[in-house]
Amino acid sequence: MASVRILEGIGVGTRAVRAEVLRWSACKPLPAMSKSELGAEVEVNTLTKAIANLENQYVAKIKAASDKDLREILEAQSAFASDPELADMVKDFCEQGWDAASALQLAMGEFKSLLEGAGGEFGERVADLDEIVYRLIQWMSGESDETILPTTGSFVIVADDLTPMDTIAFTDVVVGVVTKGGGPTSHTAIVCRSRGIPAVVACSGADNLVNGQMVVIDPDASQVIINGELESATGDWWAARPRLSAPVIQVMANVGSVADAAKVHGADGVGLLRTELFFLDHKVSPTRAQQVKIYEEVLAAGPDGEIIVRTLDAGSDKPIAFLGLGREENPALGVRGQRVAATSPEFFADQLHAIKQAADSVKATGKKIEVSVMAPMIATVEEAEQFSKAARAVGFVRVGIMIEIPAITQVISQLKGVVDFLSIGTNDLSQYLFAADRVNSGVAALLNPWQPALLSLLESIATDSAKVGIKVGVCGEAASDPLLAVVLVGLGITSVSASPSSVAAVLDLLSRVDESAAREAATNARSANNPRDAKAAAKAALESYHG
Amino acid sequence: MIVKECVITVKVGLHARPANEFSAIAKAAPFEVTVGKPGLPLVKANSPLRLLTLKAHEGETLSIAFDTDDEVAANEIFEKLVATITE
Repeated sequence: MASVRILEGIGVGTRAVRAEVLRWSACKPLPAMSKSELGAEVEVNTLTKAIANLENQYVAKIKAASDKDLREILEAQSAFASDPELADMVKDFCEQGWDAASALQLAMGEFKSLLEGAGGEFGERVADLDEIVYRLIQWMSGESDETILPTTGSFVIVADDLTPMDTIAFTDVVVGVVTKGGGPTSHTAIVCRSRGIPAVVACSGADNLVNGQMVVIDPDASQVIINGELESATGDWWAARPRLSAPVIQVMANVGSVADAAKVHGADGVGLLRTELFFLDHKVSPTRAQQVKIYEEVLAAGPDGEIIVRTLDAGSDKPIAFLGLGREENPALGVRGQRVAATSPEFFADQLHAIKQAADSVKATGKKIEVSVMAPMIATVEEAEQFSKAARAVGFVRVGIMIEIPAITQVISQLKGVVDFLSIGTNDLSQYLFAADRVNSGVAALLNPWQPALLSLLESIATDSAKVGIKVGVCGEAASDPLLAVVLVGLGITSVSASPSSVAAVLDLLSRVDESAAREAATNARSANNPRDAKAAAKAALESYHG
Repeated sequence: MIVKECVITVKVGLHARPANEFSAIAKAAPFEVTVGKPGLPLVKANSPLRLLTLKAHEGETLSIAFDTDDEVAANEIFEKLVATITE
């Protein structure tokens, strides 16, 4: 049997697929720099024709693009190709004696050097400029720039990186994508997300994939599994375990919109009701009455049970227009989450009142909900005290805080009598624990929720909270991975809150394990030396455990 | 020369669609339009590539210079430019 190997990256989408690898032909190397033998006028003329041709191609592709995001990317590229400044610079280089291809590379190189190191959305545009240079040079050298796909079968396209022109050529035979480069906001990720093609980007091991190999793309776990079976991704491997009457701990759902709330089935309450999405398109601060209406709608649409509403988690990276947050050099370390309450006290006071009022009115309709509130980004006991005092003054009985900043994990015992519950946001906690920017694909591997150091920290948080009688749940990505949810149980976590699409799978596995099996899985995972071994150890423990 | 300032409020910042529209308006203007961050060198606003290199994010202020003395004409172009980078 062929051996199973796992490559890590960043997943896009949730559905897992299994298909054959088809390597996307890498771009041919660009010609070496050379001086013109034909004279500047001929070179400029050649390039002008190439640009006109490329523009025509863009017009046709923009017309054919069904998707708005893709169309905008193509429109932007088209505008870059016909940039008058680019034409002027190319002309200068031609006049210095370079041939058209060299002049183009030199000119675009100047723009690239201004963008390199920019990171984020601006840095990622370098790929657009490379693509334009490549297409123009291909045309000038008389070669076809179209890549041919098979007409039948199912394939996982593997490439160093993909351009919008590449992705627009994808037909139904493309069922998955793996790229070595790219990040969560790269074109590949954007296009795959909007076209519903599961992908793993920033997969540093993509070079290991060869044509004809069968792979599973498991975006939920951010993995490419060579010679894997779909079952290993979707979790059906545990189907043979007997089902118990109830899950071993409470399984709740994460909700960020009325649509989310309506599609949550089987969850025992909502462990994280995000409120920032409701206000993204508000130019002016919503009135208290407007807020009440929004919360009433989402509470009415959601499940019964305990509903934990998180107060606004905004920041300069998640901007809300009416808060007037300025740009920061380092948004992840700046004024965000509960820290914004100090700069916009009126909004936060209104929000607490509005949540309480909405909770009371929805409860009065006969819906069985108990609404509590929690604050994001709490670093100190003092911040927790301030929030708790404000929330209790409004009438909330149960008040909690998010655990995302390592500092607060060192003073859990001092939260006794201050808050009733803790909710761990593993995504941000990892970012701060590992000093790894969540939006930088270069450090994505550190943010794997199976990192043993993260598991150890979760265990110490759970142990410290249990000592002072505070309940502790996990609402980050970690809680949406069924196997990891089992490990969380074993570490002492008392509830998990998963994304709506993962609730069913988490609920199913947590209904087939008991605490001692979970403890064994957790012990094994925590003592591994890397995320891959941690996951394998947890799975092995469960498979061999027969109570 | 007339110089005006405005704050970018579109989420993506000055690239993609906003930059395209911005450069198209500058290109159509009857005088040269240059743009940059206050205190830094200005670039030609008709060039989407130059606009990109400004790396101007949401929340940042832009200085826009109009090579004309016609206040009314400059204002008209300014309004159109502002519309592309504000929401």
